Parts: sequence; C-alpha cells; structure tokens
Amino acid sequence: MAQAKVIRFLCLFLSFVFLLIGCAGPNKPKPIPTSASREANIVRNLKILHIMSYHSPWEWTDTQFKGFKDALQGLNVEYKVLQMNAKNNSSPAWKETMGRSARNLINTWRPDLVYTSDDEALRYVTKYYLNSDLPFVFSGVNNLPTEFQSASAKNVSGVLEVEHFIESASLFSKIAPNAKRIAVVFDNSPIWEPVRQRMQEKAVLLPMLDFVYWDTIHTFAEYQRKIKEYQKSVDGICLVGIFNFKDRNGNNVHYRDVLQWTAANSKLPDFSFWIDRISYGTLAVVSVSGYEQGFAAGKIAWEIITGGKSPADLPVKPTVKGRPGISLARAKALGLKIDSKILLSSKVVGKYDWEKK
Amino acid sequence: MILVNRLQTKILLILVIVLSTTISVNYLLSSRMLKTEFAKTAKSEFTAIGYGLKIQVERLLSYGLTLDDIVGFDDICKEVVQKYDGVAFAAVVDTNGVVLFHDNVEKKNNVINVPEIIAALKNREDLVIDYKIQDKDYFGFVTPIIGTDRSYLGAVVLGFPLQGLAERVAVLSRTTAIMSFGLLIVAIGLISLALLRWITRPILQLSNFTKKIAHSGTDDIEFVNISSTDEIGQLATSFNEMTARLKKTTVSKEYLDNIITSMTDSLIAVNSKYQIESVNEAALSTLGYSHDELIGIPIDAIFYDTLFQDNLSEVLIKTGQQKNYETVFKTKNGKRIPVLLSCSVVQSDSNSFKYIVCTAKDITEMKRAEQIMYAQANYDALTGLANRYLFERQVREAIEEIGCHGNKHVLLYLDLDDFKVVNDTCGHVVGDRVLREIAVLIKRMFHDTDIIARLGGDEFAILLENTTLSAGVSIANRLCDEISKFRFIWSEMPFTFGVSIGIVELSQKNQIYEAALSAADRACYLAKEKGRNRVYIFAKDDPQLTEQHDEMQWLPKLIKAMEDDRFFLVYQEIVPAATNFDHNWFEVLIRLIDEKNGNVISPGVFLPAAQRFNMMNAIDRWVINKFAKTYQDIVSELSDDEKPLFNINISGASLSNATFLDFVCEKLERYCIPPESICFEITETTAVSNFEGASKFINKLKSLGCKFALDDFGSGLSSFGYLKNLHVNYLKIDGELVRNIVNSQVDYAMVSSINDLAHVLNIETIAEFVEHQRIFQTLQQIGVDYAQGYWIGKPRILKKISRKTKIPAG
Repeated sequence: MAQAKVIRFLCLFLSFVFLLIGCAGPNKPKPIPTSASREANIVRNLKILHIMSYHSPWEWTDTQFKGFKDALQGLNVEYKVLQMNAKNNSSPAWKETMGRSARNLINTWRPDLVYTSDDEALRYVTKYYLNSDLPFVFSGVNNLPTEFQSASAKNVSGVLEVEHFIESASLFSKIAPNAKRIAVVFDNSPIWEPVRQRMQEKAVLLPMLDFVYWDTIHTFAEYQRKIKEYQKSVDGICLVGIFNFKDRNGNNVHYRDVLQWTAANSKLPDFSFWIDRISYGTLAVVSVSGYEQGFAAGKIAWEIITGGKSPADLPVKPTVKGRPGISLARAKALGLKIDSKILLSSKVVGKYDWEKK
Repeated sequence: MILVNRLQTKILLILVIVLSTTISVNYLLSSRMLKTEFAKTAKSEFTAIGYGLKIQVERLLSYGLTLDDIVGFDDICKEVVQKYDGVAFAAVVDTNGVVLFHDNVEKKNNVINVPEIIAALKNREDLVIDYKIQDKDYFGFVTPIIGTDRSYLGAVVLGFPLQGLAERVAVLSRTTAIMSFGLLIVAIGLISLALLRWITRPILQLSNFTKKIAHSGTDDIEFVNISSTDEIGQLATSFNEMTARLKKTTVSKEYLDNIITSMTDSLIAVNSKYQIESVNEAALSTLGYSHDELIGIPIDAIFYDTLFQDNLSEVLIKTGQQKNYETVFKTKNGKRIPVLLSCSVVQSDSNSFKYIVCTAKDITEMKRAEQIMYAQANYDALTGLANRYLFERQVREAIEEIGCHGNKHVLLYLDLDDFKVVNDTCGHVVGDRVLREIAVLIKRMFHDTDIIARLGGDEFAILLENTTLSAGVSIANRLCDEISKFRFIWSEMPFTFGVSIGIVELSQKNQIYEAALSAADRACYLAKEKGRNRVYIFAKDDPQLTEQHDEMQWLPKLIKAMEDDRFFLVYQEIVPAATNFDHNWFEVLIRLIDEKNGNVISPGVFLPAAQRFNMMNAIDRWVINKFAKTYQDIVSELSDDEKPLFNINISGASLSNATFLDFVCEKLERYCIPPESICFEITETTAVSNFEGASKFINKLKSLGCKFALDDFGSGLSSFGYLKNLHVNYLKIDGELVRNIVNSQVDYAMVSSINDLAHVLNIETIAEFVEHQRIFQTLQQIGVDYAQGYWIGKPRILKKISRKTKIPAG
C-alpha cells in the first residue's frame, strides 16, 4: 500500500516536471509538405498546356508561369507553352488565329490540364471548352466574363488580376507628396473598362489625390500630346493601359517605347500597377505579382490534379499580395529622394532597362 | 530552541542550508556565466543587427545611391534602437566618424569621439569593442560599409551599454533566483510533508510508545501501527516484537510493587556490609519493627542462633542462592518465629556481592501443623497414648538397645474385658470415654518414660524398658487389680472391667517386633481364655500357645483358600418328620479343599479360626454369592411350585456388618432367587449377642419373604425371652441334645420341651444330628417337625435337583 503511494507520488511529480519542460520547450514548426510527401501520391506524368495570352520573355508572363510551376513542384509534369502574343498583335484576327492554334494543340496533345495567363487566352481558347472534361485554370485575368464564372463553367477556375490601385497611389503619394492632381491614362482595350470602374470607385479612398482626368487614348500621337498637356494641368500620371496605342501605320507602339518616351519627356511623377513598368521608367508601382498569380493558379491546379477536386469547387479569387517597385533612375531624373524604408521594402530598379545594355 | 531539537526541523534546516547554498552559489556562478554568455549572445545578436543595417545600407548603395543620397535611414536606425532592447544607439558614419545617420537625429553630422570607435573605423573590419562614455561601460559593434565599387565608405556603428546588459543579466538571474527560491520553498514544503509522514511521525510514535513503556510498563501497551517496510517500518516491527517479548517476560514496576507490597512473606534486601538495606511490609509486620528501626541494622540481629554472615554467606557467594533454609526470626520483643529462608545473591564479582535478596516465610502454622500431624501420626487421638506406629518404633529401638547394652525389656499386651458391653449398651461415645479414663488410669501407674500405647479398640500395649520379667509380671498384676477396681458410672449404671494381659520378655537382640507383639497377643488371648482379668506369660514351649498358634496359622490359609477358590458348597437334606412337607429342603454347608493333598476339610476345622480372625463375614458372603450364582442351574428343571427351600448359615459377624443386608438383597434380586426359598440360620448365641442387628436383619428379609431358623437352640444358656421377640420360622434343636435322645431321658425331655415351646410360639422345629432311624422315630413321637442328619442324608454336592426325593423308609 505504501509502495503504491510512493509510486503514485513519483508519477505525479515526474508528470509535472515533464509538463513544465514541455511548455518551456520550443514550438516546433509545422512540417512543410516536402516534395517527397507530395510525390507520395503522384506517380504518373502529367501534361499541362500553358497558353500565354501575351508573350515570353516578358516578366509579367514569365513570373506567372514560374509561380505556377513552383506550385506544382514535386509532380512529374510535362509542359507545353503556346504564346498568343496578343500584346504585340492585338488584332482580333490574330487573336483568333492563335486561339485556333491553341485549340488544335489541345486536341492533338491532349493535356491533362490547361493553364492560361491573362484575358485573351480565356476568350479565344477556354471559351471553346467550357464544361468539358478538360480542366482550365487561369491567372492574370482582369475581367472574367460571366460565362467563365464557376456557376456556368464547371471546368474553369483561376486567379483574378485585380490592380492594387490604392496601394500604388499611396506609394506614389509617399514618393511624390506634392503630386495631388492625377491624370489616369487607358488605351482603348476593352479590358480596361472594369479596371476603370474599379479605380473610380476606389478613388474616394484616396483623399490626398484628385483624379482629374480619366483619358482613353487611341494613338501614340494622342498620347504624346496628352502627356505634354498634363505637364501643366496635373501633378502626376497614372499609366494604366498603354499597350494599344497605334502608330501612324496602325501598329501598336510597344508599351516599352511608350514608357521610354514618357521617361524622357515627362517631368511628372507617374505610377502604375505592373512591376515591369519600373524597368521602363514608371516611377512607382505596387503591382500584382505575376509570380503570386501563377503560384495561386498552380495551387488550384494542384487541388484539381492531386486532390481530385472539380474546378467548380475552387472559387475564383484575386491575389492580394502586392509588390512595390520603384524606378530609382526615374526618381533621380525627377529629382526625388526616396525614403530608404520605401526603397528597402520595394523592388528597386536603378537603371532604365535600355541603359542596362 | 525547541524547534531546532526536532528531527524534522534539523533535516529541513540542513536541506535549506544546502539548497540555499547551492542556489546562492549557482546564482553567483550562473550570474557570471550568464553575464558572459549573455554578453556573447548579445554581441552575437547585436552583430546580427549591425549586419542587418549594413546590408540595408549596402543594398541602397547597390541601387546606385550614394550615402548622401540615402534618405530616411535615421528612421531605420531609430527603429532598430526601439526594437532591440539594449541597443544604445545605431548610427552610420563615414570614414571620418561623421555621423551620417543616427537614431537620434540631433546627433547627425556629429563626429564620434570615442577613440575605440575611431580606431575600429580605421581598422575597416568587423569589430566588437569595449569603450567607456562618461564612466559607463559599453560595447560596440563596428562593421564597415563597402560600396558597389568595393570602396570603404563608412561603417555601421552600434553601441550597447554593459550596464543594461548587466541589468538584464541581473534581472534574469534575480528572476531565476526568485523562482529557484520559490521552488525551494515548495520543495521544502513537500519534503516537510514527506518527512512528517514517513519519518518524524513514525519516530514520534515509537518515542511515545517507548515513554509509555518506561512510565507504566508493557501491561497496557498496544503495538505500534507503522505499516511501511522501510528502515523505520523495520524498526517498528522490531519494537513490536520486543514489546511482545517484554509483555511475556517482564512485568511493570507497579505490578512488581503490588506484588512486593501484597506479599505475605517477608522480603529483605541485605547489602554488602550485611546490613538490612530494604524490607517490605510483611517483614516489618512479622518482626515488629518500624521501617526506620530495621533499616541499617545487622542482618544477624533478626535471627536466633543462625549467624547469617558466617553460615550462609559463604554458601550464597559460592552457589548464588540458598533455598528453604529453616531458621528462626527474632522479633523486636524477642518472640521466636520459625521461618523458611530463601536467598538470592546479586553478585558484583566472584568473591563479593552487591545485594542478597531474602524471602522469609513464616512457618509457625506449618510447624504447628507438623506437630499436630506428628501427634496424629504417632499418638492415639482418643487417649493421647502412643499409637501402634510409635509404639512399634520405640519397641524396635528398645530391641536394638538390647544388642548394645544387654538390658532386657518386658512387653505387656492388654485387652480390656467386658468392654464390648459398654459399647453395645451405651454406645461408642461412652465407650470412648471409658477408654480415655482407663488410659489415664494406666498412665498414672507408669512413668513418663514408659511407653504406653493404645493399639486399637480396647487393646493396649506397654513397653517396660530395663525391666525383668518378674517385675513385669508384678506390674501387670497390679494393673489388673487397678483396672478391676475401676468403676464407670453412666446413666446411673455402674460398669466394671477387667483386663487380660499377655507378657513377653524382650531379651534377644535379634528379636522381631512382630513376633514379640504376636506372642504377647497370644498370651493375652490365653489369659482371656483362662477366665479373663489375669496375666499370662508367654513361653515358647507352652502347648496352649502352640494350639493357639496353630489356629492362627489358619488365617493365611483361609485367605489363600479364598483367593484360590478352594471352598465349595455341599447340601444336606432336611426332611419332614411329622409334617406333610412336599418340597425339597436343604441346608447349604461350606467345605474346603486342602491345598496340599486335596482332602476335604470340614468347617469345624477352619471355621473357629475364621471366627477368631474375623473372616466369617467374608465366608458368609462367599457362601451366599456362590449359592446365588448356582441357584438357577440347580433348580432349572423344577417349576416354581417345586423349588426347594435352602437354609444358609449367617454368622454374628455378618449380622454386625453394615452392608451385609444390602449384599444379601442385591444377590437375591440379581440372581432372581425367590426370597421364600431361602431360610437363614442364625445361631442362638449369635442372635443373643447381637440382638438388635439380628432383629433388623430378620425383619427386613422376612418382609421380602425369607424365612429364618434359630440354630443350635439349646446349646447355650437359651433365652426364651429372645425367642419370643426374634420372630423366627424354625427352631433347630442343638444336635448334641438330639444325638442322645434315645438313651437320655434328660435329653429327651429337653428336646420335647423345646419342641412344645416352639410349637406354642408357632415355630416349627428341626432336629439335627439324626444319625439313625431310632432317633428319627423318637423325634416323630415327640412331634418334631423336621429332621436332619447323616441317617437322612449326608451333605453332597448338588448340580441339579430333580423332583422331590422320597422320605427314607423308617
């Protein structure tokens, strides 16, 4: 009887001690799923067709694709890529031709899943496979037509690109605190309409800025004229759509050229929503991260491939993580000194892209 | 002080001291170590912070900025200082020590004037330095900033006050110490409880029990209830075993005190100086001293004769004890008290002692009882004379002396005459009184040194030491005269007595007591035979004594014959002479077979000896027992109506025997003997001499249906008065009268008278000794009812009786 009491007491005491030690011990992090754990369930090769609406190499497109591939790390995937190059050839005929090519590739190669980036691929490829057995995942889509929404398109899901307007404007305001009156520039692509709407709705959240102009510009010449006008009428410019400016020949002027001209000719600080812009002279951006877009799309694809889920079960959502970017070269040119904290927390481009060569 | 004396407190004190010392030393050592390690860690941490700042600066430089271009880095320095405790300042300086960025904006553009920092700047390497500012110790970290062109542009400088570090270490150590002491208190509390539960409480329990035992012994002590199996549990188990053993083997002081106080024996302790050391109440009471009077006095003062120190001490020291030594106490007032002394020595070494403990039992009563017992064992209670055992011893001693000194002695054997009459008529109480008075009379006639004994009954013996035979005869004659003159009056009736005395001379050293006494007895017997109240001297060649001796030889023969079952029964027929009696009728007679030659010995030879030596009752019982056992076989062929009548003789001794009547009744019942088929014969003299006994016997058995015959009627001085009151059925006329009835007219007349008288009393008559036909015919003429004799039939052994035998023709 006494022996049992002693043993009981010792057990209690040791439990107490171990409990103390256990509480004092370091928290173990949750184990990160390793490729090995992922591989545990997947054996066979997968075929994924990536249809770029735009082109590569291009940071926006490439970072999306990288993010997508990183999300599927651990799977045996064979990728094929088709570039629609809709940024450089924005005619409907071209887009139609490229869409057909894509569809042929789908029919012949028979991928397990199709990943599209940006809006054009959605319209010219995905549309033809709505509610088929082939799952489609998209990223970088600004405007999701009704027919592609989950209720209507059971085999389609993805990630919306929603511009970080407020963040970009706030960053801009920190860098160029004197810039109050802002002109917003769009090209005539219909994809910007919803962007415009969203921006106009959210502009009230930026009391320090006054968005005086919401201009849609068709040609490059018109753009140039506008920029000159803006030098006197506004304090800063928000460059949203700059891809469809036509030159005299009716060809699109590359947005890089547009930005290069702007850097050389505009003394106004400007901002936008895409990271690549800072390489071409835009002062500040808080961009949708192409990588984050692609990674999120990849996670959706993962759930479809390994989890057996239907795309309809995976809601379409935008990414929320923005990526600030600063063109230090432009800041220098504009005579702006940017706070170190901003610089250190942003992607900083010290030189223009054309100066790097 | 009381607290410190407790075991638990001591143990806890030790624990507290040890643990406190441990904690304190640990605190001191750990503080130092902690300080060192903390400093190392802090340095490492702050180095990392410095590197972080350095990387940020260089990163900004990598963007193409110069140190001058960098804006807002002060805020970053400030954030660092705010974020990390212990960082006194964070700054970026140029190569000359000019502050470019500082967490304290006011210090911007100042020049650092700390020599150690200046020296570190010049060193252009990561350095941890110790320096003082205003007597405060710091350590700083300086890491160079390298531009994109690998040029040395300046350095990040971080400063950390050691005091802060020390404070942090102290706080940590203090917190640790406080926690340690807190745990210490909890641990002490737990240990205290454990000690209380497992050690101090059991030990206290044991202590309390030990105190109880010390105070009041083991009588009321129960066992310690400690159930653990550790060393204390084992101690408790051993304690309980010891207590159990003590309970069995020891007693408490109170118990011993009670015993000593209540002892009836005296208890005396003697010290090594032979002085009384202590006594109990019994000793004080016995000796008559007070406690103070007795203590300290020499032990020998309380003894008579015995010199304690000289007599006993040597024995005591050698053997260690002395048991039941008989001695005498001398009380305070000189009274003698016999005691039985037992001593035991408490020895200090082999030659001396510490104490002698003595117990003395007062044996006064025991002595008195001894004397009484001695008296009872050696003296006659009735008369105060010596009894036969003392007499025998003294005679033997006297005989022994004959051999030594050649002197002679005379032995007198006295038997009172006519004493029985007193017993019979007045009872034994009166008889005893007579004996007492005669004893006094005898004693008066002799010296105290003469040995007078009562041997039993009315027999006395006297040893006359150193006396000649003639003197003894003279004394004996004088004794006869005195006793014959003795008158005893009881209820106005005078009684006189005589004494028959046998004398034997004791002159031979090898004379045997038994033989001498027997000789005196035989001489006494002859004195009685000769007429009583006279003296008869034993002589070896005396023919009368020889005859008597012969008779005396029959005693062992009869005893042996009884043991060997050499007696047997014969049956002599009794036939009707004048009556019409159609049943068989026999008298049962006893015969003896000689052991040596097998001859049949007639009762006339051995019955006198049997009578003399009081064997008649035994013989009567044998006859009745034997007859009863064989009765059913003898009459087995007869119907109840045909069963004969059997006469059985009863002696006077049997009539006097208290159990004889019950014996007869038991035999009749056990063997289913019809009482009416038994007729007991009692001699006339027996009936007369024991009239009351005979009457009782006759009345009882007659009530059962038995018959009685008065035997040998006419042989003595017949008392017809007794005949009237005895209520017998038959009268047997003495054979001596019948034998000469034909030739003697006197005998004829006597037989005729007896017959007529009996008939008047309605008693039938039986004539014995009918030896021929003429006697039988004469008897018929007289009208005697029955006849018995050799002519009718000799005694014979009966096995079975057939139908009635016919009367012989005559």
